[in-house]
Amino acid sequence: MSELITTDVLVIGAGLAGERAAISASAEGNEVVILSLVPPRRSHSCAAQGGMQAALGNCVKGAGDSEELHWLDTVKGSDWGCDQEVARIFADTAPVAMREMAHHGVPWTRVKGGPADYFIKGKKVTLEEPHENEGLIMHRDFGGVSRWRTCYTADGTGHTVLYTMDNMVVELGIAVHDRMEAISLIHDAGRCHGAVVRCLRTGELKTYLAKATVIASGGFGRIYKYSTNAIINQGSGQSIALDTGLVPLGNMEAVQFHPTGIVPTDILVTEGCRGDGGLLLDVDEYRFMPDYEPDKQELASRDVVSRRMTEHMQKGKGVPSPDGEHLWLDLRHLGEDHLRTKLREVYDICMYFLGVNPIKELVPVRPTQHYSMGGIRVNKDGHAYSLKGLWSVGESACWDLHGMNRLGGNSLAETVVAGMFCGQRLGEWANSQTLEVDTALADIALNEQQERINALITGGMGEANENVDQLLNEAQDILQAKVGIFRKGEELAEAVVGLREIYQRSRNLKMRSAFKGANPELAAALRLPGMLKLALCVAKGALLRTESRGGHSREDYPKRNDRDWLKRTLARWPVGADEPEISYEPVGLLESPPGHRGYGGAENIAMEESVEDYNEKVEREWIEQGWQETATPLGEELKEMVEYASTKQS
Amino acid sequence: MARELTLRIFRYDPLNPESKPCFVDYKMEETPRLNLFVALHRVREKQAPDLQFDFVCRAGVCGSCGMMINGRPTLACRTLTAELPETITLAPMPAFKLIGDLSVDTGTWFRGMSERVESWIHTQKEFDPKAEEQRMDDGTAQKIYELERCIECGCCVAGCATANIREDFLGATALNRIGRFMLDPRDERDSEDWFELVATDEGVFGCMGLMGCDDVCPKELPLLEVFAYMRRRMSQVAAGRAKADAGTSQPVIT
Amino acid sequence: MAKAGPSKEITHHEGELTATRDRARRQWKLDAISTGTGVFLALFMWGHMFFVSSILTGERGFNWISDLFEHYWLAQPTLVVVTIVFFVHFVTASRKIPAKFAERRRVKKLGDDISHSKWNISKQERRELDKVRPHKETSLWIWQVRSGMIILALGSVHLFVVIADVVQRTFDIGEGLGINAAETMARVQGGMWILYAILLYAVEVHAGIGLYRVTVKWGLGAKIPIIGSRITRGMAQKMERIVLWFFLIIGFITLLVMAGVIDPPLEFLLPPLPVAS
Ligand SMILES: Cc1cc2nc3c(=O)[nH]c(=O)nc-3n(C[C@H](O)[C@H](O)[C@H](O)COP(=O)(O)OP(=O)(O)OC[C@H]3O[C@@H](n4cnc5c(N)ncnc54)[C@H](O)[C@@H]3O)c2cc1C
Ligand code: HEM
Ligand code: SF4
Ligand code: SF4
Ligand code: FES
Repeated sequence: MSELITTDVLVIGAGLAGERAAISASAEGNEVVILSLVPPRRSHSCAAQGGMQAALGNCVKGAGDSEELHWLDTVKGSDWGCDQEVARIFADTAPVAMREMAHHGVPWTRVKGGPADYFIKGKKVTLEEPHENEGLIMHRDFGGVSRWRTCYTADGTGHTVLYTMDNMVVELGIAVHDRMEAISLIHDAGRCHGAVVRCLRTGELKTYLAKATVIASGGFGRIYKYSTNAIINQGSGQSIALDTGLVPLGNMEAVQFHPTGIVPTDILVTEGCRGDGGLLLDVDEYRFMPDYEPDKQELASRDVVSRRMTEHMQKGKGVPSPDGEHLWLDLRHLGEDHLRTKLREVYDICMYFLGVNPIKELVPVRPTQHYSMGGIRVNKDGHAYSLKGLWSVGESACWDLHGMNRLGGNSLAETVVAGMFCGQRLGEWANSQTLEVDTALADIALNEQQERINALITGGMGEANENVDQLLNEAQDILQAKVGIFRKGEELAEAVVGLREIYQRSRNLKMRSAFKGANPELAAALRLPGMLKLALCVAKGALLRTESRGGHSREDYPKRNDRDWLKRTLARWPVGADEPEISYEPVGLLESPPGHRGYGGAENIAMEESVEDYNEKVEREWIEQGWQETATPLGEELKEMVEYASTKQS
Repeated sequence: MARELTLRIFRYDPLNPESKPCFVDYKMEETPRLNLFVALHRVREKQAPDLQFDFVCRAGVCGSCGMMINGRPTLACRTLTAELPETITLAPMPAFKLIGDLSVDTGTWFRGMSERVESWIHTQKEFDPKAEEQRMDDGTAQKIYELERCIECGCCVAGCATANIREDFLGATALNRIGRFMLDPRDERDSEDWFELVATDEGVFGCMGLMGCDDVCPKELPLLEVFAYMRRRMSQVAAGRAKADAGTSQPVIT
Repeated sequence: MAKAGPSKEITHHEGELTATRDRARRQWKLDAISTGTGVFLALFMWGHMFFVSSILTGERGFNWISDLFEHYWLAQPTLVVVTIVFFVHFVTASRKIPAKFAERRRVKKLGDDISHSKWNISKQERRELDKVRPHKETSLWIWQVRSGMIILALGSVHLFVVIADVVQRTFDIGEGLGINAAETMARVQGGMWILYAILLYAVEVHAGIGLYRVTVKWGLGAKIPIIGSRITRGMAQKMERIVLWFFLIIGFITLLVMAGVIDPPLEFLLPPLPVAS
């Protein structure tokens, strides 16, 4: 008999979001167990360098900042695709979250009063930092914000925050079972009871039963061929939710790309390279950006540069290499001094990972998948649609403060804020529940997985003629080529067909190795169908969304369409189906009606219905989609909404 | 001409009674800018689908991929094959429990380490959500960060003779962690608390000072400086001359 | 589940707390003693070297100094103290030597592997990144243990001989003439030079490495008074090399003089002997 473990709250994922949620849930008096593919401190949250947004307004360029401004920047950044109430909760809680992390030990970079030198828009300026704020948390600048509000620790924000968070987890004695992969959810009659888990040390299966199950499994960037994400970011959390056939994934087509990932290995090099004067060159070492964007050149916004680079490579101007086509980033003219001080991190990455010296050589780069806005659709408490007892926080969730595009620094902040806020809500909820230990149900779920594994190890599934790596590579190629930065209707349609075919072929997997233990090929084979499903959700969602908004840009529909598409895509996967079923819901109550972002420059098709009419239908349509009742009524956190909307009208 | 590389990889599955520890050679052509992350995945994809190894960030920041590369413990993801001779010997790090092939259980070890050194801020203060954060001098914050940069890769433990022969030795990373909290004005542990933790044979006085840790640490942490600082400060404590405790002392780890 | 790292229960019962504290204090003391005695011995050896090298000015100078020491009862207590410290150091310092052969072999292998012998570090840029730092300390330490063992063996012999001599002269028993140039040189020339050459080399190496290690283990990062800069490993290494060669050279010239291979080079420093009438 395999092992059965019971607890009050089961958290799948030990990144920032999962650990913060566990801490909150435990503070509510619950017993908590956290699962993770890897030791918690290796979760991808540790890789974020830049920082996290919170309106503390401590430094001179942050003066006058407020939660209100942070909220507004976030809404604009999302291209009005976000849930504005959630964005409110987020912006209001972020400062407390940063201070709490300071209390527990994050060595935030602090304000040093007096004159300080900065590079702003390529020019050196000297500003006077306020002495009265000496020793408070410092901020740096980030894209799409009206004030400096990114809190950071030198170049290791994610690392220090994650380490501090895990210290708290250790202090509280919360159990973390690492190298444990949740491979399916145990559920019955619309209620989630826990998960079937595979031990990555031994290959054994176990069942975990809990009152509340929380998915905090991070992003799914690895369904793309080139991604800045950690290689464990394969979306297994999202896919086990999708596998229930009940829970929808929101806005899966909203994927963010970053222009400069290095080739091979796709490690991110900062936007600062171009900010400081780096140039993009093609196979002939010709500088092509001015031809496309005579005005902004290399410094157009992330999505625009990524699009132009892709376009240029499609014209055959990419540099061929065994690791795929790429372009060059030229930093040579910046000089040794600059590269070894201001761009030290970039210099190190090039030297260590490429053996390329950017002082003398060109750096191979290409646009690279970076962040997934979409995920498990939850309400403002973090409770998943349509399945009681399932919760989700962090990048794996579509809590939806990012809408169709997230701002830099908002995702790391989201993990902590959502963990704090939703963790408390789910902790309270779990207290109101009793633990049902239904061993029969657990056995059924476990056996189902065991059969899958047995089939794979003994001879293969179905016709047993497909190879895991091969299928994944093919799917990644399709996604990269056709559901990339620039999207076109016919390509998207091809992608859906191609991916569906691969998904069908994945029923005939055969493994090349046969050992039962911690076999990496088996792990990959178990994850593959889920990854293909996510890919199909992305592709189909993108195909159907006939507008351009945030990270989703359709060449054939270049305008943002607030008349028809002020909506969130929901993708469900009925059991046994070959592709997802797509439905839509309103994005949420509007406090700020759609307007111009102030950058990007695309045209909009205006909303036709009034904000009141729109807001009217939100709750009703959400309930239809499986929205669960929240601890406070919908709109509670949008206190000024009524006044705000009416002033806008007049 | 591209070189033909031989990856000589340690293979052993401790769970399988038939498996015996051995080295197996895998050959491949070297491509430009090849690093061991890519090379090992090629081996797994083309030659040995069941080969176990650990990578997560593949960017040198998560600390998952420590292994013995030609005898030296370091991060595989940031090691280029161009830096190595044609035959590259890869073995799992010693001093940790083997999971299989190149994969070792650093997670359990480090959790144990954190528990043992009580790796968290010890304070009587309650967090007050309404209050402004406790102020801290930026210089102090930078010093803490300097030690906080440890990525728990375990290379310093694998490369430490003492840790290799004594299971209960704290290891450089743990001593460094203690140093990090000693520096932190928010931590209220006093000299006696630290003394009991580090001034032992499992702690800094068990360290033989061979500096393997300092020489292999991929993050180039100033480990020896931390140890020297601890020896001095602990001796002051023993001599009853410890300066004021808990953050009011601003020590000299540079 | 898996083996729990270096983990051990931390307990907070009053009794046990003082027990762990006492234990910590004991272990600190042992380490401090081994270091303290080592430093003492090293300093003593240098002083010793200066006095012995008085032979460079000829037999007269050497005898003058040794007579002085013995006459004013400086030599005798020093001998007692040094002998005790010598053995205390031996006992405390060798605590660190791994007991099992396999462990000693492991230490050596690890040190060899970590040193960069099997890496290509040809590229200048790579070196600038300090990627593969050379590693010498393990082999230095191994040589320290080896030289320590040699000192233990040969030094005991030497101590015994000198003690016997001094005791005989002081209490006027037997034939001992105390520390005396003629006798010493006779001993050296009679074949003891091999012993002294080895002992000299071993002591200088051992003391040089020892002090380097003490500097690195205790002093790294500390501010040097007056100069104000902080001690670095490079600094300590340089210092070790200079000191080592300085004393080795003096030592070997001294030995050569004693062996009668060369004439005392510094004889001119002493006032000329009154011409025999
Ligand atoms: C290179 C890079 C730089 C970034 N920089 C920034 C930045 O500067 N600012 C910013 O705001 N954001 C940044 N981001 C985004 C941000 O880092 C992430 O969105 C955020 O860290 C996600 O945190 P998380 O807790 O949701 O998930 P993760 O930290 O990814 O954690 C996921 C956890 O889930 C576990 N897990 C996954 N699947 C399973 C399963 N099936 N069973 C059990 N456990 C599972 C994993 O082991 C892991 O512990 C960056 C992202 C990248 C890729
Ligand atoms: C004239 C005689 C000696 C001198 C000058 C001397 C000096 C020193 C010094 C300065 C150290 C450094 C201490 C440290 O690293 O903490 C040292 C360490 C050591 N000595 Fe000696 N020593 C002498 C004799 C011996 C003898 C007889 C032995 C016998 C084995 C010995 C064995 C060692 C060992 C093993 C260490 C290493 C201890 C450690 O790593 O902490 N030494 N010695
Ligand atoms: S200096 Fe100490 S901790 Fe570092 S390798 Fe040597 S014995 Fe281990
Ligand atoms: S101290 Fe250095 S070598 Fe040791 S675990 Fe930390 S980063 Fe790795
Ligand atoms: S894979 Fe993260 S450090 Fe190498």
